[in-house]
Formats: sequence, C-alpha cells, structure tokens
Amino acid sequence: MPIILRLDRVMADRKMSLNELSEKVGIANVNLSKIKTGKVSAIRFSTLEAICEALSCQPGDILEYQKEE
Amino acid sequence: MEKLMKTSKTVDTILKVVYKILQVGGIIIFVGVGICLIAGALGQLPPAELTSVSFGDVELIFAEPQIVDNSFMTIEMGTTLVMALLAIAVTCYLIKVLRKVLVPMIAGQPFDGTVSTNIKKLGITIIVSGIIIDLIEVIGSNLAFYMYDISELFLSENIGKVMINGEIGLGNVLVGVLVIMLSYVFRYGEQLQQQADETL
Repeated sequence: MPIILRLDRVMADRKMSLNELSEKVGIANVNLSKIKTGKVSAIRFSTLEAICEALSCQPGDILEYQKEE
Repeated sequence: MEKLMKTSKTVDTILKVVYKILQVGGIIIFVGVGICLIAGALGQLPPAELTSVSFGDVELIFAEPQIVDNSFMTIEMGTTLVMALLAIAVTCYLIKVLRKVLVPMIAGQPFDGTVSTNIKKLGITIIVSGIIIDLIEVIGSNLAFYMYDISELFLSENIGKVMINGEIGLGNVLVGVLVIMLSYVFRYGEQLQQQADETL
C-alpha cells in the first residue's frame, strides 16, 4: 500500500511503548499492532487526532507516501 | 447483536435435532420401502386394494376398492422411495449449509467471509432440488396413469379424453433467486465489515 504509517518511528523518538500509546489514545493494543502486520487500510480522523495529541506530532510525521512500482 | 446470537443458537439446536431425525427417518424409509420394492420385483407382493389414487393435487376416490397388480405397486413404491430419499437428502444438505451460515452468527459475526457463499449455495440448492423433485413427481404420475389405465375409470360417453398435465412449479425458483440475491447483500456487508475491521 502506498501510504505507510511510521508510528513506530515516532514512538521510538518519544520513547513511548505500544501499551502506553494505546492507553492514551484509547485503542486496544491489538488494533495498534495491526499497523505492523499491514492490516490497516484506513484511519479515522478522530484516531489520527488522538495519536498526534499523544505523541505531540503532526499527521505528516506519522503518514508517509511511497509510490508503488 | 445479543438477540442475533441467542436466536442463531436456538435455531442451530433445532436444526441439529431435525437433522438427526431426518437421518434416522431416511434409513427407516430406505430399508422399509427397499424391502417392499425387492419383494415387488420378485413378484412376492400380494395384490393390493386401492381405495383412491392421487395425481399431484388431484385425488380420485373409487366407489369400490380396485385391485392392482404387482407392477403398479412396484412403480408406485419406487417413485415414492426415490422422492422421499431425495427430499430427505436435499433437506439434510440444506440444514448442513444453514448451520454453516449460523456458526459465525452465533459468534456475533454475521458478516464473516463465509456467510454469503453459503447463502448462495442455499439458493442454488433450492432451485435445483425443486425442479428435480417436480420432475420426478411428473414422471411418477405419468407412469402410474399409463400403468393403471385411468381412462377406464370414467364414463366414456361423458369424457372425451383423460390426460395428466404435469408442471414444474416456479415457486422454488423464485425463493431460490431471492435467497441468491440475499447472498449479494451479505457479500456487500462482508466488504463493509472488512473495511471497518481494517480501519484504525
């Protein structure tokens, strides 16, 4: 998929664990883990807002576009 | 969702019981009528006295009992056996498929990936089995008609011609088509469910 979520990168910068982030954002661990297995095809604005608030970052820090060849 | 899960579980339990009854019934019918059929083929069946004869929805009731020979009874039992076993086999298959549809519903997932496929199977089976059973009924009625010489039963001066008009009912086809269309609705639901599951 051309849109990639770089959540792990930002989490590592902020030194935040998956458990901590899931608690702050209010999403189950398993749902956040789906990012790693590529099972995420859409993200709600409300979820994106909650993640950005928890990580003090911009949406562009988490989302990256890579053209498919 | 709770109601769906509860109802699905209840229906599944009922279907389980009906399935067992049909299996046992099928075996009993197969053995019982099969024995009579073999006896008929060997000429061991005593002549039977018929008080009436049915052709589809029409029943002719005789003023006096009519004695019929072995061959008529053998054909009658043969077609009855085939129809009964076919009806039981089809019903058992339908119950099996319906229970597969209910499994994800009991788990609270009505839009699981397998539901639409199984519902489509149900629809196709309803159409095909309805046509086959009607065909066998028509063949059986016509065989009995010609074997028994039905026209002899009527006052010839009042009756010009006696014949059997068999028909293949479209009721099953309509129900089957509706069920197949329902499977497309569930397929759309499955796609929406997948999108929802993959949304963070």
